[in-house]
Amino acid sequence: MIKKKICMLGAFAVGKTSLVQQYVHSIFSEKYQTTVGVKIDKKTLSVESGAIDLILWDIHGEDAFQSVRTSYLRGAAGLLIVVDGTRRATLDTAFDLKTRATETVGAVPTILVFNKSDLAADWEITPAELAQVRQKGAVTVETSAKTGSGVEETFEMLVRAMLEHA
Amino acid sequence: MLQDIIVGPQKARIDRLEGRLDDPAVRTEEISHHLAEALVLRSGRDDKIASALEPTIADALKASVQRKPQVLADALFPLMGPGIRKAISATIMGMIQSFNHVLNHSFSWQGVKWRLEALRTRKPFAEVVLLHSLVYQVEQVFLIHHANGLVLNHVVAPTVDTQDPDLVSGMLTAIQDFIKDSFNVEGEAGIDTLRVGNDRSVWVEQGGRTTLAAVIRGTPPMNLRIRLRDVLSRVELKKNDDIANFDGDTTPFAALDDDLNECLRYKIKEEQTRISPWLWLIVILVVGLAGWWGYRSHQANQQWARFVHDLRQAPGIVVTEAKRRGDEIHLSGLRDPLAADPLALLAAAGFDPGRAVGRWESYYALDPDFVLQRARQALDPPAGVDLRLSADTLIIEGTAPHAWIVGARRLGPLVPGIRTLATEALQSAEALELEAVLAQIAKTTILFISGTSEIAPEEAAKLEQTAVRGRRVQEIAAGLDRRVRIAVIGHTDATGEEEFNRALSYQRAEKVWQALLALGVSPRYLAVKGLGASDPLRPENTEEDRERNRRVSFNIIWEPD
Repeated sequence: MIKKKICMLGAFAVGKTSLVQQYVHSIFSEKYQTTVGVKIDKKTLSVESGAIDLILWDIHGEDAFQSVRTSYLRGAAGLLIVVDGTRRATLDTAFDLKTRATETVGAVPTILVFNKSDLAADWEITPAELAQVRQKGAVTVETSAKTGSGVEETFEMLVRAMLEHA
Repeated sequence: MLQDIIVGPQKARIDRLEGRLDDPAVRTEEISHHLAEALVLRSGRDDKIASALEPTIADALKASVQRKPQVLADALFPLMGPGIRKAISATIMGMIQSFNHVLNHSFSWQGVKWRLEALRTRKPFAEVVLLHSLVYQVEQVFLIHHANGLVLNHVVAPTVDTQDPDLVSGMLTAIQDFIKDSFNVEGEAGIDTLRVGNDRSVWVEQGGRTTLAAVIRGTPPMNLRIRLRDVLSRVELKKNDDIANFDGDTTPFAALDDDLNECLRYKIKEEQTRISPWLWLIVILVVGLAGWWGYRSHQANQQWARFVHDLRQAPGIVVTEAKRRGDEIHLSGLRDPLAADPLALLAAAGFDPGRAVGRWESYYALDPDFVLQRARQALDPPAGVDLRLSADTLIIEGTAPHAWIVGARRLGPLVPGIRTLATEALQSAEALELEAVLAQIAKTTILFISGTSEIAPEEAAKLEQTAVRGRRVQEIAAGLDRRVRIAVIGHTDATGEEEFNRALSYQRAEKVWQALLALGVSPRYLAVKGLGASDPLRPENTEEDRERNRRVSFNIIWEPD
């Protein structure tokens, strides 16, 4: 059995938890995030070489009052950094988090997840800016917590990237 | 020439070296000198030799097992035998212990409470009993990788409910990190113990790269901590490389189950381990039942053995088969028609004759009792006859009718078991009568009137009676095929001339002879004789003496057969 620790980061209220909650096995409630600062879920995926368990550390959103504990990032084999498409500031936070995470865990496969694709009309981040992000070499994906679009694909992309990275 | 002098010796050396390198036999010989040392040296450096040899050794073992499994079995037996025994006895002890516990609490007030609890919580009663009887129990053990909080291995005590170990382990790691961050703890130091409620705690043992976390119910002894530490060091030593190179593949750590299982310890409250009176009762009942069954079985066996012995001893019975198979009784053999019925004997011994199968062939037994019994049946002896047996001779004694004697002589030797007859002491009733009648006739005298051949008138009745007797003699002698004559002898008294007397005596005899003929006696049984006065009955001193001598007497003449 292959197990991988992955961390999900993002600015406060970008919809991380609701993005994955229907797709993962969970025994802990959300209050852990506001107390301990992390909530751990599990996602099992089938790949060619067999099953793989992703132990998903859903880390409390970064805001003025609480910063991400880098100790939670230790040993992560992949990162999901979630951005709220309707709030431009969350992209800056994402870059900042990516930089800090890389300092702790090294250059592990990372996906920038642009959430709230169902609210495309309200997006502050323009397609041009998105293209620019991609041009810089970042892997991006657009998802919707509301419709569930792109969620499974995100996990699959990350697994593939992690297996290649290893 | 010069070249030979300068490079000659080197060339010779080079040739020699080349020769050594090219000759495989020489190389093999040289390698064999250093092979063991080389293996030791390399094994100390890394485990490539082990990896390289592994497939070969695996194949060799496989081939060995296929060809001669006994060799490997013999080699492994000293290891596996005790292991298997230990495992079995541990399992049985465990079963008895939990059974004992359940029994202990099945019928007490506490037991009723726990039963209600079991109903409420939908747990098996045995589990509820165990929970209340435990001093402590290590319910789960996690082996967690430091770097990423992933579970390398996880073991659980039986009947313990658990959450997903990956999630629990992750959260446990996160909480440790949280606390370390919050209190600025440096280095490897971290949480030793987490306490949850009154009776649940998590003991954490930190190793170099891994953490051992034991979830414990109750109050564990401090030496459990030492055991956890020992197991952790052993595990880290065993899997040092796998832990260092861990990238998510937990397969190598599955082999640590046995090590971690050592940590799943428990202790049950002392007072609870006393043996339940109910268990005693059950043991006594079982032993009693087994004893009763054994006694019954022994008794039945004894009863059967006695029956078979008696059957074999019974006269006229030859047993060829006497067995009990399940419910059936198999009885076969030979049986004299006069012998006891084997089924009746079976019933008398307390067995059900309806369960008997088998067949009995008839035969004649030569037991004296049976031979004698058969002789009695065949000969039907009349009263006054006694039959005895001496070896194969039938002794017949007593008095019997002639006809029966004749029949017995003929039939006797035909009875199975009898070869000869002994009839010396057997008398014919008719022969005895014949002798008696003849003796009566011989005692009779018929008197005559003096000087005449006239029978005295008062003698008529005697003459009549003698004729009756004569006829009886005739009958019997004919039946017996005996030849006898009654001589009628005439006498006179001494008075008178001898010549006259002789003639008179003959006339007197003839007179009686004729009278007897007239009364139906056959002349074949009579003879006539006159003796004159030569054979007087008594000396003639008186007239009465003379009267007595004037007579006819009778004499018996037996003729040869």
